[in-house]
Amino acid sequence: MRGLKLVFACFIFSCNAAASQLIAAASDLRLVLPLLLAQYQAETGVSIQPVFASSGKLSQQIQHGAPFSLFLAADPLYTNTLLRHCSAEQQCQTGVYGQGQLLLWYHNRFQTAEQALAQSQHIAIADPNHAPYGKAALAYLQQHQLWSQLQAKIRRTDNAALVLHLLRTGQAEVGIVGHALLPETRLQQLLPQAQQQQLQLLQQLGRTEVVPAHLYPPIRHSWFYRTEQKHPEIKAFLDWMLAPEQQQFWTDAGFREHN
Amino acid sequence: MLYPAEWQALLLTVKLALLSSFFLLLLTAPLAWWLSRGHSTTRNAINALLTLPLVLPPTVLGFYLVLLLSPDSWFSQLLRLAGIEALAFRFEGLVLASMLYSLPFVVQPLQQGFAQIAQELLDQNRALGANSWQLMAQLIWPLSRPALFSAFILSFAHTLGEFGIVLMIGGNIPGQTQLLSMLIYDQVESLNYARAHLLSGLLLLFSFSVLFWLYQQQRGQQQRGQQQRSQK
Amino acid sequence: MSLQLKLNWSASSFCLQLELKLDNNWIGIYGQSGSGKTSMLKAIAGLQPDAAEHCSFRGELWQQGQYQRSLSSRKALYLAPEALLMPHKTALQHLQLASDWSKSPEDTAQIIQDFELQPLLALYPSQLSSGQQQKLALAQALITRPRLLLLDEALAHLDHQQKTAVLKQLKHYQQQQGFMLLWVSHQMEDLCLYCQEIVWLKQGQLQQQQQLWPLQQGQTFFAI
Repeated sequence: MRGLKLVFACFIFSCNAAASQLIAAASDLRLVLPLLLAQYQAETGVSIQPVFASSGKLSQQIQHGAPFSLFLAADPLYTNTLLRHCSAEQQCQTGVYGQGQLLLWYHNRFQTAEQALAQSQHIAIADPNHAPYGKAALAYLQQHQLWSQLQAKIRRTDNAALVLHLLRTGQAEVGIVGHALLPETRLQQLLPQAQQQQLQLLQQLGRTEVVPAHLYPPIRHSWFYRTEQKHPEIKAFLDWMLAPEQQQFWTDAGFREHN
Repeated sequence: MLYPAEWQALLLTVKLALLSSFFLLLLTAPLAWWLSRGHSTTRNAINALLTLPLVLPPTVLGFYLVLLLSPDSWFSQLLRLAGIEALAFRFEGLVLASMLYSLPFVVQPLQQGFAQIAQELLDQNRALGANSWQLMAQLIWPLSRPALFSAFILSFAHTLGEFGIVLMIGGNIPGQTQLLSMLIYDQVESLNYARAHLLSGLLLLFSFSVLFWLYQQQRGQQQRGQQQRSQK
Repeated sequence: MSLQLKLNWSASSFCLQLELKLDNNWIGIYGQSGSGKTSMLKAIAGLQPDAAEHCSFRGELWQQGQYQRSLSSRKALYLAPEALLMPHKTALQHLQLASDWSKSPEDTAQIIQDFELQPLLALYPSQLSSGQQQKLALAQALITRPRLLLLDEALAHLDHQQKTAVLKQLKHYQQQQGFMLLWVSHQMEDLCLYCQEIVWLKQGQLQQQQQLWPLQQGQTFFAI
């Protein structure tokens, strides 16, 4: 019994693992960002861990003291707000690095996207209040001629990634997600086996269509960086991520170059 | 079988449950004792206050904790005066939150256990000459051990399953606030169903084993007591 | 004046009002159920502080208005009809603890012998009969050399033979330690046999206070 107590004591007072390098990222990057980070680690040896949530939630957390020095948002609205709250010594910076695309997924029992929208029971989108992809999806649906019918069918999820979960589990037959959540085959093949399987199942279960860009306000992906003594490596990653060599990655991930 | 991140979340979860239960017992035992010594309007009001976390949704508590723990709040400024960094999105903040959240799960069993110790018995032994320390050591401590034990179990188990508050104040930061429950949510979001199944199964098995072990211990204690009594 | 007492207490449908001065060492208290005997003893012991207006013992003030002398410094022990024992301690542990806690304890071994507790020492209260529990509680009390012993039917569960033996020992220890004893009992013959003075309560009032010993000429007691 005494040995057990000793083990407990050691365990309790053990230090936390040295806080690793963290970046906050919008949920639509949930599948592809780990791939980019793995590539970065392979090239430089620096390990960085991502924390995902909707852009709105992450910006709230950063405002309330969450320890992120780099934040990849899906809407400059949030990074600009953070910039306004920044003090001079933090040397905050923001920028736009790409433009996201909306993807419409519908069950393959429907022939066309229009039919799917008209006949489906539920349409899954991310919560427009704090998820940029949800906001864009809502704007798209609102312009649709059937808006009055569609309105009642909308199911909101907490963030962009959970839309896939609703589609995968059959809780909605139509969903609007970021292209980065259903990336090009080249990137899909790099994902862990389990995720690949789920994405393949989704693709067998339904069809995807890119929503024409003029039907919704642009989804501009922006980054926010503030200088923090503890994590000088993060800035290096940011520069690396924005370099032209990585442009192919972002294209495969479903981003259009921002002009 | 487990990835380092998953080990980390598991250990962090257990550590949080142990620490918050321990401090909670330490802090609430005197209060529960006072509450168990009779009834009055003040006591009822405090009792109602302490039971609030049981009925309030975690979001209410989470919302106010976010405000309280954020670096600009008066609480954080007080802490800064004492040389402590703001607790938001840190393990220490989670300990505080879990303690608040599990409060009724500790106070209720303690209070009930303490109420079993009759005031007459305490008075009798005081009249026999025992001072407060002697009463504590010979009477109160041994008689309230089962209550302390069940309060600890309840708080521990409750913290293992905590999610709502962590979601609001934790920030899901690996090594600081990424508990097992958060990691499972994370895996579901990234369509990693296999890992989510594994971690959920693990949490289930672990919680069951801990509870089972603790109940076995308790029964062992009771049996030992009975054996002692029936030896003669 | 050994014990001076003024009680003034009213609860719902019950009113306790009496003033007493007691000098003898062995006093019996008699009265029907609900006549206030228990409340009186508890008030003296300090267990029911709101009942007493004034209480002093052997020249020492125990209670006056807001002033309360602490339980431990009174050395007044109230023994309830159902003995108050610690469920997790053996009989021997009860005696040892009382001995540890008291500044000038009685010889424990002697008490064990006098009250024939030897076979019970390793037993827990739940394993004792109610009579044995009462005997243990009394022995525990005597170890601490009380100054005032308040027995509330505290021997009622003992059979006749045991009671006689216990009372004989109690008399012996009373003479040796010099404590004052207030004994509530429904057995008038017991009271008459052992007590020097009898106090008869009725509905919270003092009905009669009677010196028995030494017998005074021309007085008879009509209690029975």
